[in-house]
Amino acid sequence: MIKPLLLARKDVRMLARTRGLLALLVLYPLVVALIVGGVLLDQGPPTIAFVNEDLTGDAVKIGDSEFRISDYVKQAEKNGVDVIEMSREHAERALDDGQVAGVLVIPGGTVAKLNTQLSGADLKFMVGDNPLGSVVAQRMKGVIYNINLRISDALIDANRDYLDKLVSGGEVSVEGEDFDLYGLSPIEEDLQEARDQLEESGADEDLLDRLDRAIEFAHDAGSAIGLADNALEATAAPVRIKVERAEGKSPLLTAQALGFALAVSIAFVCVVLVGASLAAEKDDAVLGRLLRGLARPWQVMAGKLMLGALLAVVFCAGLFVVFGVLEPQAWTRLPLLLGAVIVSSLVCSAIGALIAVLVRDARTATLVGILLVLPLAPLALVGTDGLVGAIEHLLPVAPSRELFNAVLFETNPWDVVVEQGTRLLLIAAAPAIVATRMLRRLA
Amino acid sequence: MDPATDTTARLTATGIVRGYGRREVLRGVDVRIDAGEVVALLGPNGSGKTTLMKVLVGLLPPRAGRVDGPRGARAGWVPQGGATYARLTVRENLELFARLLKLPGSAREHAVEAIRRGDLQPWTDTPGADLSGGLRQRLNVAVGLLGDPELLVLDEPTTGVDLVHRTAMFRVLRDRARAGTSVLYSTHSIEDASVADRVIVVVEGRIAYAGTLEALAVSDADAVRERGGHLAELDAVSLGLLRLWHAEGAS
Repeated sequence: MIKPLLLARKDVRMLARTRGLLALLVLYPLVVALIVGGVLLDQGPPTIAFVNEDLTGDAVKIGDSEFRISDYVKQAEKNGVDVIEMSREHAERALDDGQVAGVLVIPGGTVAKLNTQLSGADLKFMVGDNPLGSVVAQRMKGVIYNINLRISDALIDANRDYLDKLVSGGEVSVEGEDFDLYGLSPIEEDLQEARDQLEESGADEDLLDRLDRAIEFAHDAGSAIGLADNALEATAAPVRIKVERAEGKSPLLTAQALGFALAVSIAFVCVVLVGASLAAEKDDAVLGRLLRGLARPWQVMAGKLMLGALLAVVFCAGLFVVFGVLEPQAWTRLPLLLGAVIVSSLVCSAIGALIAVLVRDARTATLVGILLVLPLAPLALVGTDGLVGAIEHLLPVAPSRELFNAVLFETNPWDVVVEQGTRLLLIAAAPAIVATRMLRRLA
Repeated sequence: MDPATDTTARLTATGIVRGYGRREVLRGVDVRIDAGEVVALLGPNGSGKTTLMKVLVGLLPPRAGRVDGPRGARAGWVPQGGATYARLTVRENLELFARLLKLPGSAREHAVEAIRRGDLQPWTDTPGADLSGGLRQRLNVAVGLLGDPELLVLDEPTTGVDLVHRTAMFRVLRDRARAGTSVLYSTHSIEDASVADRVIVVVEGRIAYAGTLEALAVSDADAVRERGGHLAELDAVSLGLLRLWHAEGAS
């Protein structure tokens, strides 16, 4: 790997001497950060549609507890998501049109299921295939978590009440039917009284022994149920956190902006600069000299990929400083982010190299690179389906954006990291192999 | 064996055929260059000189035929067009290529020696982009000479080089030939070709002549010149070359 390193070092040295380009390297991330951040942040909080298809309403009654699901859904507004109630038809149309980022549906029968306390219920959440969709989905998981917590608390309270009634006696209601429970403690007291009277009347010792065992069981069972009462709560929610939100910017949205800005910047920098750098070596007639025994085509290609990776890291460091200050959580993912930047740079550099071998000179390579990347940026921002979406995922910006989003704010990013990382490496392999094989054409 | 007296073939190419797409450029070329021999390659524009040299140094594979000769770092290649990095200085260019050639010892020392041989000391820290065409070409040749290759192939090495340094360049090439290096260079100048031991004339992708320059001279030069026109200005060798080109059908 010494020759690729030598070649990459030479490219970096030459780049550093191109003052205009160097200034662009410093300014470009700042401009991208300002534009993307401005566009995303100035849009205000994303909106989701709330559809209640349960004709019985949305009030859940479990034991003595009663709460409304809609009250919890509206708490999403505290997480930076606006909630608007709509009909199902209207909501789906709004999602298709991009007027809302997601639709939360309470299906019919949900409240009845929850009221039985015997089964759970599924809420449906639909999101658009775009960057905002994944942000909103992430936030709605928090909302659903809070609803589950509330139901869990209500179930625990109701079950504790049953257990209390089982020990002390009283009225309970199951599936709408009322029952009068006598209770283990009153049974113990009644048995003790009966035993005392039988003993005074000279009852059979064997009968008294059997009554003693029954009294002991009633006592032990009452004590054991008393212990289970506390264990029930501990088992249902072993660890809980109390979240306090401070007023301020929307952190997930800045992470989203960072993910997009990283993907677009890397695409521009690597496709354009690596392509122009390789094509310029042909313009200077130096590539032929290199390929005639000084370096193998794969070494030239590896040097360019290293150059692209280095440029991407430097470029993204500039972006990261700007966005990282806004999004302190991102710093904890720095090593993973570095890996994502390098993987993303590989595919863009390979495409840049392929452009270089296909066109006549550095100027054309630059122009073609810009023309290729330019339409990908807005596509990656809005997200698309169908044929265009499939094509978009064969090019680097959209997979890179998904990779960066996962790395920056997914709780468990590994599935996406593996999927999109593999996809990017596969996309990189094709142009890198073709460009390496065609390199001699440039000589 | 003393390389200066080693006259065995350093490079042999037989039946070379090469083209671009459907266009055939070389049509069965045979070339032999001995150790320590200096050979000039002559021919009209588009006759296939550069393509032949690229095939000989292994930059282009022939469609047919066979090339036996030094490869990799043992063969120096000086292409047209500067072929050095414009944003690197003279010293940095030479150091980089010395490292890529994996020359033993310090890359800086190799660079300093190449700068001395190419008489480039005043421009040691000048970027390639700031050099004149002739100086850039001298840097190009200096890079080709790095590592004292067994075979040195130069594509129009004197383009843009002033008279003094042209002479100096050929002196260096002759010195290298005396040390055993085989030198092949293309040129359009009869004066440059006169430095060579032998010339090869390529016309329309075929070898039209291989021998000494003197033997090319036409015997009836005076009679030809008397006809006047632009031929009146040409020497006997140039007239001989012209006759070869017309004989092969070149325009």
